[in-house]
Amino acid sequence: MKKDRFEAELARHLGPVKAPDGLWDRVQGAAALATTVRARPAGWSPGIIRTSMWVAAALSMIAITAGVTVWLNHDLSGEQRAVRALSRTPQQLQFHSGNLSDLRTWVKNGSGLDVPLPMRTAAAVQIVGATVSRKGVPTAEILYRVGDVDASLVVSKIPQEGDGRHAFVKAGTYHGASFLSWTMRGQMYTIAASDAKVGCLLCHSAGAPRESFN
Amino acid sequence: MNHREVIEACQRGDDDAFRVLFETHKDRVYSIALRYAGDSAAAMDIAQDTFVKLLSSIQQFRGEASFESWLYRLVVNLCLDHHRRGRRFLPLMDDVLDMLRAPRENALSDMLREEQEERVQLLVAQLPEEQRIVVVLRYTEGRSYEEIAELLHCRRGTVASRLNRAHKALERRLSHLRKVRQ
Repeated sequence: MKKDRFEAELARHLGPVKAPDGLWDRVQGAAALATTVRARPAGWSPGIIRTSMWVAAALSMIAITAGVTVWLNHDLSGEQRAVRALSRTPQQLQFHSGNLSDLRTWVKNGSGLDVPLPMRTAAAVQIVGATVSRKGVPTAEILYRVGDVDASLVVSKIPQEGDGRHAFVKAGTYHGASFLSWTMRGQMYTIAASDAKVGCLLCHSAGAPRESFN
Repeated sequence: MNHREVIEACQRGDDDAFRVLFETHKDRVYSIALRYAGDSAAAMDIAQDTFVKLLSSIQQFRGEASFESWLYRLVVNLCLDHHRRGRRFLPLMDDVLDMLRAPRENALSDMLREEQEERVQLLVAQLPEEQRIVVVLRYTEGRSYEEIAELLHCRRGTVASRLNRAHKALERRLSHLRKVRQ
């Protein structure tokens, strides 16, 4: 291929793109966090600083206790649940089996949620187990590994019906893990992993035709 | 308000001016990050870090170099830092992500073009770091050899040789891909 043609091809494929709409929100959030961390009153005496630190430590303990209580009891979002599920140990799960058919049946019996898992997954995917919750909105958490990457899939009921198509909801990062959410047939799905796209291998190892997901 | 006035307003802590600056440069910053990282999640992280860094360090901008050069140096350094921190760039499975995206009208030609674009992006993301950044600045930003040399603090000849090595690697891999597809 001639050099100028090759360079033109590179320029065409590597040209500029539009930044995603969510970028401004992320910048604002990160900037606010950075400002909070950096802010430190200047000119205070060591005694005042020491006292302030004790007060801050006590308030932090109260806040952490309150936070943990709220964290354990409030209705978590899909990404919060999915990321939290990544830290579960196998012993904390209610169901342990790599059999996808058994898993689907167990989740349906336990939560009423029908998760359309495939009959078989890619060789790299290993099911760790699952747990369900009927408290509040019925939710199922499925833990699995793709190679050496831990991944979780959280499914919950939503009011809208929808059909078999994936309707993308959002993607992003939460507490250092990336997540991906979509709705399908009246259920919300969220995958979390160090790279959520890797988690898609649970169901899409064969690279199903694009049109079936439209 | 012209660009210089916007920068001065940012230096005084004017949030609206920062938004204007963000809107002006967001696409270019994100494009460099995406083409370098080859992955939209990593690109978002880099673009976010760039603007946060910009906000915290804009006081240090003295106007000796052009603002664009200064900003590009920020994003380039963050791309390199991101890579060195051992962050795993996984420019894989974009087609799977596409499946999950909301439906849209997909002409076959659009799909093929996107597919080819992803392949080229993936190949660029596999280049060694010093070749990759040169390719991104050259083809995503359209920068001259001299401008790239200035941004990367190296000589023009170094830019030329890195680009030459990158061309050879990309051409070899692209022709291999074409053969596989045929």
